Amino acid sequence: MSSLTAIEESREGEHEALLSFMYLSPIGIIRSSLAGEVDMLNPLAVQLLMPVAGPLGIDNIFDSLTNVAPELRNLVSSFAAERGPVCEGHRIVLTPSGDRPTVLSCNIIKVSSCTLMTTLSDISRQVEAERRARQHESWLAGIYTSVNDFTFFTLDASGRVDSWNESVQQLTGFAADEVLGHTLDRFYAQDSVDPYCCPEHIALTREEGWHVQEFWCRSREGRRYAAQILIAVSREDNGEIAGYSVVIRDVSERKISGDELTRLLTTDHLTGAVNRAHFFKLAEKELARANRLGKPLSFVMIDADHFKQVNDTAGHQAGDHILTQIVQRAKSSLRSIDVLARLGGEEFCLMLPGTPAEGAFQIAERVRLAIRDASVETAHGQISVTVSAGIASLSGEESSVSDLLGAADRALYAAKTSGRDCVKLA
Amino acid sequence: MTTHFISTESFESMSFDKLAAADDRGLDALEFGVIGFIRSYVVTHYNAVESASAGLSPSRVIGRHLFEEVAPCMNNFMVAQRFEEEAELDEVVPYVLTLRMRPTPVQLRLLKSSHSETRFLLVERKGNK
Repeated sequence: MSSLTAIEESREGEHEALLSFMYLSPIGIIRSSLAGEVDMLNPLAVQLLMPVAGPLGIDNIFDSLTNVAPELRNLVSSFAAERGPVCEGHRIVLTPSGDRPTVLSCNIIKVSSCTLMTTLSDISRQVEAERRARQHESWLAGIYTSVNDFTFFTLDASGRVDSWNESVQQLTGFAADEVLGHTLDRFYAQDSVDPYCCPEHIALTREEGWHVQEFWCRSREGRRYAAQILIAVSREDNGEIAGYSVVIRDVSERKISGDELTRLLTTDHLTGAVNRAHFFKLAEKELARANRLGKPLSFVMIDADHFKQVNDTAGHQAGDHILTQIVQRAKSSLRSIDVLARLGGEEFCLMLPGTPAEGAFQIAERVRLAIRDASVETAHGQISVTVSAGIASLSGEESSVSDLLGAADRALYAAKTSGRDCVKLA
Repeated sequence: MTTHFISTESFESMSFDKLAAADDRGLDALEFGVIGFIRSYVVTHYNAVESASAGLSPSRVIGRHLFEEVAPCMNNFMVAQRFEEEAELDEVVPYVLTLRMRPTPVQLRLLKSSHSETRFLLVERKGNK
């Protein structure tokens, strides 16, 4: 009897030890059905999911993450094999806010025809470290590449070329008298580079000590090439900026092979709109530029009306088709500088550079009407969908991207509550 | 005497002072989970209901760091940060815990008073799930 009790006790003790082991796992682990219904999960999964899911709850992993990673459901449903890794190290970018996690890494393994195992971990710090490492790498790459495809020269404190050597002519074709005293504008392909690029690049270099950007350039003979231009500050002993060192690298070959990769990394899997991660990057950059140059900038939050009903009655496939159509219709009424991103689920955001509130309102109206006039053929017949939109524009005061998106979100909410299918200004 | 007195209190009606005055037997008699901890987040109280539903005995929990070692699921701005930042706290927050790794919807009541060193986290499982 007593030995039986001892076994029972040790079994119980071991069970408890296992539980406590799982409670303390530093990675979120979730078991669900293929449809995402959560069956078991550990505390870290809850810690990471709850703030992201909000009112969506965590009964279904895809629903919880739909606002930040709508592609997960598609990735799983388009994974045909019976078992295997659906995604590895898939990055989920969260809305930046305070010191909360900003990037999660997600692995999904299809264990069987009815079970998924998903892990989530906070990799915000790692991502930041990688960003820095990439900068260093391009700096070193700029130095070590063979002399044939880069040139090195200097600018004076006002940003004008003040030295010339053979390598300048080899890469760009320009002789000394054609570049000395000119700004970097001399090297850009004028049709694809805006006039503010050069002063902006210099300004970023002053702020950060050095800065790398990619531009289309044009040689004296008219050859277009993709160039990486690195500028570094040279200082006097007293700390004053004496001038700048410039490295221009021809990266045309890499640019072409990298284009497909760039597309995969920056666009939404389903709709082809810009993805969340890339959008936040573009928005930060554009906001800094608008602030520096005192230019207007507007954001338009767009949300499909009653979209859940479409999904529920006509199915996810019809829903996906409609999302794709929304993006196509919207794009047809936008300018080439405008950016359309899918932020999550049925929520999109338009970034309109150089556009004040009134202009943004006109564009948003055009988009709204273009979407309303389109009906989509689905297995359940013709479906038409409307959208509501909220606009926030940069005003005189300092505001962050998340402030502006928050204001646009509130305007969107006002549009929703005043009957949908309309546009409201913040 | 005390035991008998507080066991009739519900999750919502329980007051901070009564919790602070109760002994272990009194806390064990309650029908909802109670976790007590001090400023450094070291757990000082872990009642019978909480122990049974989480599957952890008090000896494994008391003396440990609440958010780092016992309940990492609440180590975010929704729970842990509230205790960190607010001087007085009495709020009910709907949450999901992973009792024995099963997602379990609960109500949490966050209690903190500037008069007391001890803070409490009350846990009530929702009725029908």
